[in-house]
Amino acid sequence: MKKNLLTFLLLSIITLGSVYAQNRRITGTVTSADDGLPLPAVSVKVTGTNVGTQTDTQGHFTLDVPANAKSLDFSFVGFAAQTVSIRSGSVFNIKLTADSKSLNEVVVLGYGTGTTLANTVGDISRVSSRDIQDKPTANALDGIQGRVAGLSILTSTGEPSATPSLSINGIGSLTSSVTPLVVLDGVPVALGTVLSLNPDDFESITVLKDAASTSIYGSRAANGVLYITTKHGRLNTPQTITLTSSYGTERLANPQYYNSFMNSAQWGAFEVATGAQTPASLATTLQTYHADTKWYQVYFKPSAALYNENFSITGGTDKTTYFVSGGYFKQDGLEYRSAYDRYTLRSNVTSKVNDWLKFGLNLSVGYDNRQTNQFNTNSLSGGLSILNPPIYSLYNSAGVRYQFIQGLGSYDPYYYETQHPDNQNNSQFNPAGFIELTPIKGLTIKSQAGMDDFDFRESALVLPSYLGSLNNGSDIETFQRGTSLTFTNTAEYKFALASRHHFTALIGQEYTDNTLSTFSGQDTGQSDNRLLTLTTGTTAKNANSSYYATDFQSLFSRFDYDYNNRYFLEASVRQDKSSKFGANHQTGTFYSIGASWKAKDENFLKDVSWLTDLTFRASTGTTGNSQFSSVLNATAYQQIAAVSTATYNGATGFALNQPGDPNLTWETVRNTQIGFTATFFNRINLDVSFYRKTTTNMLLQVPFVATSGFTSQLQNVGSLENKGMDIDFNYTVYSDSKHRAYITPRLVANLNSNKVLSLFNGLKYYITPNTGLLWAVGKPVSYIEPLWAGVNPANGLPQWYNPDPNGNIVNKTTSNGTTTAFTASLQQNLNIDRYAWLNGGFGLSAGYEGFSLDANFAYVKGKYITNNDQYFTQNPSVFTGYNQQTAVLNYWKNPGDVTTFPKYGQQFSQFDSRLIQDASFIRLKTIVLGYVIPKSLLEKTKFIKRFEVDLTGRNLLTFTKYKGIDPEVDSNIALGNDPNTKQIEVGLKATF
Amino acid sequence: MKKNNIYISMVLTVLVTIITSCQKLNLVPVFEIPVNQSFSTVKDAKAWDGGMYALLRNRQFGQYLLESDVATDELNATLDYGNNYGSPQRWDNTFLSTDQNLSAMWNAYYSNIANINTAIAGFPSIATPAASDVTSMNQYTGDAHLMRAWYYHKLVLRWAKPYETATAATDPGVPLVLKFNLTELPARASVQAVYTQILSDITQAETLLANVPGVQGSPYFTIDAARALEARVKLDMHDYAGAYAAANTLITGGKYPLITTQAGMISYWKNDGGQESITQLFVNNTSEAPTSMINYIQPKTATNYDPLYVPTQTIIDMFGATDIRKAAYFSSAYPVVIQGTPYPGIFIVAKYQGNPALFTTALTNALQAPKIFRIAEMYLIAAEASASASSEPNALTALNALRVARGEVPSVSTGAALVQDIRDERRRELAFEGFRLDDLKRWHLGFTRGVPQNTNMLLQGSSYVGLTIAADANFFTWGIPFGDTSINPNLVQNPGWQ
Repeated sequence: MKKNLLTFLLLSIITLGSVYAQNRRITGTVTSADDGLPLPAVSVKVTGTNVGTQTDTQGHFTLDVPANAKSLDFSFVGFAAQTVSIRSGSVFNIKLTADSKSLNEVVVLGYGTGTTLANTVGDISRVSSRDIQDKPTANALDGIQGRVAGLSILTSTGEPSATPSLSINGIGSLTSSVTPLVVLDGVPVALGTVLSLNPDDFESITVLKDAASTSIYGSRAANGVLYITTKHGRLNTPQTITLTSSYGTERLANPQYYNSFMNSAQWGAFEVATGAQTPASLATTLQTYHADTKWYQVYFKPSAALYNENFSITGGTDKTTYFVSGGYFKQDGLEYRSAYDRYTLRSNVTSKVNDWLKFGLNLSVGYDNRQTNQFNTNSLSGGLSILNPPIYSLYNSAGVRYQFIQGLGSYDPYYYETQHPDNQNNSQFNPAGFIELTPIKGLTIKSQAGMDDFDFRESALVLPSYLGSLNNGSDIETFQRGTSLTFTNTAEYKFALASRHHFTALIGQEYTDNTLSTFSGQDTGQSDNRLLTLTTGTTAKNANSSYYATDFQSLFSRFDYDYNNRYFLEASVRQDKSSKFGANHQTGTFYSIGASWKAKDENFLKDVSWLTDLTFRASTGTTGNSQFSSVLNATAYQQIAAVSTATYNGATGFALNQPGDPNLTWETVRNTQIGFTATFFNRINLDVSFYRKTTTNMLLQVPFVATSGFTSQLQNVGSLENKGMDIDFNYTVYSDSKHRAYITPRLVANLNSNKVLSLFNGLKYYITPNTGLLWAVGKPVSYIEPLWAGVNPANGLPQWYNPDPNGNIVNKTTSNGTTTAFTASLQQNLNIDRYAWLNGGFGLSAGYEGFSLDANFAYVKGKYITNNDQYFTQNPSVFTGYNQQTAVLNYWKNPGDVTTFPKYGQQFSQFDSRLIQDASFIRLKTIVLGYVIPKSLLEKTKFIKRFEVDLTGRNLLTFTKYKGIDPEVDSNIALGNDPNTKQIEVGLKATF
Repeated sequence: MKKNNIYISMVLTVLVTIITSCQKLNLVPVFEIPVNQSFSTVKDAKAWDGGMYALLRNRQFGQYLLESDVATDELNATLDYGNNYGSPQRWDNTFLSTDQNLSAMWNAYYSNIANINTAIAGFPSIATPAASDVTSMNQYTGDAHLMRAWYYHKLVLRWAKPYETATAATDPGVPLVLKFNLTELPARASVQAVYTQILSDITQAETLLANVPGVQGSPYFTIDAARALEARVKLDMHDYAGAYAAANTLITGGKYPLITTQAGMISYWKNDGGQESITQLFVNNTSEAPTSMINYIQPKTATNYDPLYVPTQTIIDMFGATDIRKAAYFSSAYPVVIQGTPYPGIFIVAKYQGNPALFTTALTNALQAPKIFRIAEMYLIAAEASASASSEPNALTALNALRVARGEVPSVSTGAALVQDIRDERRRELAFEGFRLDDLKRWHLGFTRGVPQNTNMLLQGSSYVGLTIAADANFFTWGIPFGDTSINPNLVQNPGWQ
C-alpha cells in the first residue's frame, strides 16, 4: 500500500544513519489481551529511537532493529503501552491490555493538533468508552458517576430523561451555574444535549480541571470542562461491524421510605387516640372504607422495561476513516406518564485528501420522545401521595379499578395521566466540520464550524373524555428552537531547535452565537378524543412567542515549550467579549501558566526499578463564569434595565421587568494547582493534586429591600474559596497473562472545603430566604435553622435552644437555655455544611479467561438535605387525617415519657435542625458481569469475530442513613422527589 | 510544496475570520424595552398606564383577599384545607414574618409603587403637541397618583396601627417611597405621614381626572373612583364630614343605582355585571386573566367540590330570608365532598364562583373581574360617617337605602343600636371582599369565630372553629416581611411579630 511505502521510505531516511548497524529482524503478532483479537496499526518502536513500524491488519509486524537495541515499545490507542525486552529471540507475540489511561494517545483538548496524554501539562482525567457504553440509562454522564476524582455527578430523579447535575472540584459559585462547559469534538454544547447523544458513540470523556487545561476556554470554563470525543475509524483498518442489544427491567431503588407509613389499623387507632376523630365517626367511616392500601404501589408501577439496540461500522482506507452508527433506546419510568425513547444516527468521516489538505465531517442526529410526570413536588397526586389515608381503595367492591377514587377524592394516577398526555419531542442536530491545511511543515491552519441545535415540540393535552372536564378538552402546543453556532479558526506552528527544544505556538479566533426562539399556542373546548388540535378548540385561544440571543467573540493564544520531553512549560491567554456583559465591562482576559516535570526521566531516578513513572505538575491561571444561569433566557439581557409588556384591555402595557446592571460581567476563578502522577512496580498508579480556587466578582442575586420595587438583581459581588485535593488510585493486585486474569481495585476521591470570603453591602452574613442556608464570611455555606433541644419529658412540650441573645447567630450555641415557642428568630448556624466534603467512587475490575467483572461504587460523605417531606409525613396535628410515618406514634402522653415528638396538639415537626439530615450514601452505581465466547468456538462461524454477553446492574445497592425518599437528590431541600430506580439488564454484543 | 497552497490557505483563513467577526455584541431584546427608551411618546405613556392596570388586576384576589378574610370570624377551614392560609386562620405562633403570602403582597405592592414612581417621573418628559395629548397625559398621571394612593392605603391598613388622631404622628406607618431608588433603605414613615401622602395623591388625581366622568363598570379610574377612595380613606382617618361628603356625592350622582332583585344580584356577581361598579377591571380568560378565587370552591369533578374554607353558619344566618344577596353570596348547589365524605346542603362562598364566560374547562376556574370600588360601600361609609358624627338621620337614610334595596327591613335604631346595625350591614354587604379584618381593627373589636355549619368536615379545636381573638390583638396588624427587616436595619418590626 502506498501509505506503507511512504512510511517505509520515511523511516528509511530517518534511520539512514544507522543502516549499517542493522543486523536483526524481529517479527511477531500483537493481539488484545481482552479477547485475543489481532490489533492492527499498533506502533512498534525500538526504545529510545525513531526506528519503528506498524502492525498490519492481521496484527503482524516485521522490524529490522539495530544490534544495540534492547527493547521494543508497543503502543496503541486505548491500550496500555508495553515495553518488551528483545535481548534474545526474534519472534515476539504481544498482548496489549486495554487501558483507560493510555498515555501515548494524542489528545486535542483545547484547540490545535493536540499532544499526547503523557505530555499534557494540565490536570485531566479520562473515562474511556468501555465505562460509558451499554449502561441501562439514557444519559452517558450518569454512567461515569464516581469514575473521576473531583467530578461530582448526582442524579436527582428517576425520570428516564433526567440530566444529572455536575460540578468539578467543589461549587465555584453560590447562585450562578456550576455546570462545567461541555465540548463535543471541539464544539461547545449544552449539558442537556448529552441526553440526546448515543453513549455508545463516545470514545472518551475527558475532564479538564486546572487552569492549564481550561483557561484557553476563557469566560465559560470556570467550572471546568468536559471534553467528549466521539469514535473515529483508523487508517488502513478493515471494517468492524458491531451489534449490541440489551433488555432490562427497573424497580424502585429504595422503597423502605414508603414502607415506613402507618397501615389502616394504626392510622385509625392514631386518629382516635389524638382526638382527630371520635370512635363513632371512625367506625362510620370504616363501614364504607376499610381497605389497607399502600399508596406508593398505586402511584409507582412495580416495574418497567428498557431496551437498547446499537449498530456501528467503522474502519479506514489509506486516506479516509469512517465511523457510522445507529442506535435505539427506550426506557419507561415507574411513574405514569414517564418514559423516554431515542433514535440516534452518527457519521464521522475524516479524509486526508493530499499532503496539505485534510477535512472531516461529523454528523450527529438524535430524535427522542420524552414524557415526564408533573407531580414530583408538593402534590397529593405524586410527591406526597403517600399521605393519602390507607383506608381508601383503588378498587370498588366489585374489584374494578376506579377512575375517580371513592373517598380519597383523587383520580387514579393511571387514569389521570392517560387523560393528560404530554408528549415532548426533541430533535437534536450536532454537525461539525473542519478543513485543515498544512502549507508548510509544522504549520497547521484549521477552520472549524459546529452547531448545537435542537428543535423541541410539546403537545400538552387534556382529553375531552377526562371526567374533570368532560367534553371540554384543552391543548397547548409549544415549539422551541435552540441553536448555538461556533466558528473557530486556529493556526499552529510546531518546530524544534537542536532537536531537544520543542516549541508549539497557537493563535486562534472564535465566534459563538446562541439563539433560542419559542412560540406556543393554546386553546380549550375540544370535544372529541379523535380531534385533538388547536383547530378543534373553541375558546381561550392564546399565543406567545419569544426570542433570546447571546454571542461571544474571542481571541486566544497558547505557547508550549518542552526540553527533551522532560521539562514542559505552557502558557495561554484568551480574550472574550460577550453581549451578556454590561456596557462597562464587555471584555475579559484570562490567562494561565503551567509546567510539568517528568522526574522519572532524570538520571537519578532512571534506575530506580520500583518507580515506573513519576511526573510533577503545577499551574495557575484564571477562568471566567458567564453562565449566569443554566437557561439561556435567564442569562440574556440581564445587564439592561428594562420594561416588559403586559396586556390591559387589549392594548400593550409596560411594566418594570428588571433593574439591570451595566457593570454586570463574568465571575473570575483563579485556580492554582500542584500535583503528581506516579506508577510503582508497574502496577500501582497514583495521581494526586491539590488545588485552591478563588472566585471573585462572584455573580450573586443580591437581595434588595422590596420597598425599592425589586427583591434582587444579579451583580458581581462577593468572593468564595474552594480548596481540596483529588486522588486517583488503582492497583493491579493480580495479573496473569496466561489466563488473561487480573484484579484491579481502584479508588477516586475528592476532598473539598468551601469558604465564603466576602459578601455584598458589607454584610458579615446573609440568610438566603426560604432555603435554610447561611452565607457567613469566613465560614462554609451552612444550614441555619432553630436547634432542636428535644421534648420536655415533664410536660411534653417541644423545646429549642435559644440563640445568642446578642444576635450572633453565626455561632452555634446551646448555653442560653431553651424555649417552647417556635419562631423563625430561633434560627442559628447549625454548623452543618451544605456541600459534601468528600465524594468519589471506588470499584473493582477483574477478569479470568473470558469472564470479566466491573463494579463501580459512587459515594458522597458529608452531604446534608433538608428533608422537607418529613414536615408533611411526621406532622399529624397540622396534616390531620392524612397518613403519617409510624415514627409519629412515639409522642408524649404522660409526664416522664421520653419521646421523639411532643404531646398531641403541639406541632410535631417544624423547620428546625431535625429536618437537616445526613444524606451521605454509597451506591453501587454499576456492576457489569461479562463473558466473551471463546474464539475457538467463534472461528467455526467464520463470520462472528467476537461475541460477548453482559449482565449489568445499576443502583443495585445503596447504603445510607438518610430517612427521606432518596439521598442522591442534589438540592438543599428535598420534597416529593421521584426517586432513583435500579435496573438489571442483559446485553449481547457481537462483532463481525 | 506549492505556493498556491499557501495562498489558498491564507485566503480561506482571512475569509472565515472576516465572516465570523463582524457580528454585533450589542444584542437587543425583542420582548422588552430599556427603561430609558420607554418615555418617548404619548403612546408610551398609554402603555405605562395599561401596565399599571394589568398589575392592579392581580392585586385584588387570591392571597390579597384570603390572607385577611380567613383570619376573621366568617370562615372555617375544612379537613382538606392542607394548611393553606393556616397561620392567619389559627392566629398562632406559626404566623411569622417569613410568611410567604405576607412577603408576596408587600413585595407586589411596593413593586407596583416602583412602576408608578417611574411613570410619574418619566411622564413630564413626554411632549404633548396636541390638546388631546394633554387630556391623555392627565388621565395617565391621574391614574398613577390614584393607584399609588390605593396601594399605600392597602399597606398602611395591614402593616400599621389604625389611624388614631392622637397618636398617628408617632405611630409607625410604612416606608414612603415616592421616587425609584434601588439602594435606599427607608425607615417607616408615621401613620400620619402616610395618610397625608395618600390624601395628597388623591387630591392630585381628583384634579387630573376632573374631566373623566364616571361610568358604570369603568375599566379605568374616573373622578368617581378618586372620590370613592377619598371617602374610604377619610372614614379611616375619622374625618367623618369629608368621608360623608365624598360618599354622598357618588350616591346622589345616581350613576350607579343599587340592584334590587335577586336575579340582578346573582348576575352582578356571577356574570360580572357592572351596574354597581365604580371601577371594575378588564379581564379575559387568556392573557388578561385575574388571580383565581378557586379556594372557596375547589372543583374536582362536576359532582365533587372540595373547598378549603367554608362560611360559618353565623354569617349565612345574618342574611334574612328575603335578602337578595343571600343567593348571590352563598350556594349549596355545589356538592361538597370533604375527605371522601359528601356533605349535602353545605353552603360555600359563591361571591367568586366564577364567571362562565371566563371558563376554560367545563368546571369553574373561579375567575371574576376585580371590583375595585362599589357604590354599596359608599352607602355604608355615608352611614358610618354620619352615625359617628352624630348625624343619625343621614345615617339612617344611607343605611336604609341599602337595606331596602337588598330586601332587608329598614332600621329604626338610634345610638349604639344604630351603630351596630350599620356594622352588621357592612359585615353583610361587604362579606369576603377583604374588609372585615380592617373593620374590626378600626372599631377596636375582637371576635369569636361564628358557629360552624357542620363540625365533622372542619378542623376542630380552639385554633379553628372556636377561635376567640381579643380586641387590638397583635396579629390584627401584619408583620413586616423578614426579607426586608433582615437587610434594612432602619425598619422597626410590629409588636408580637417574629
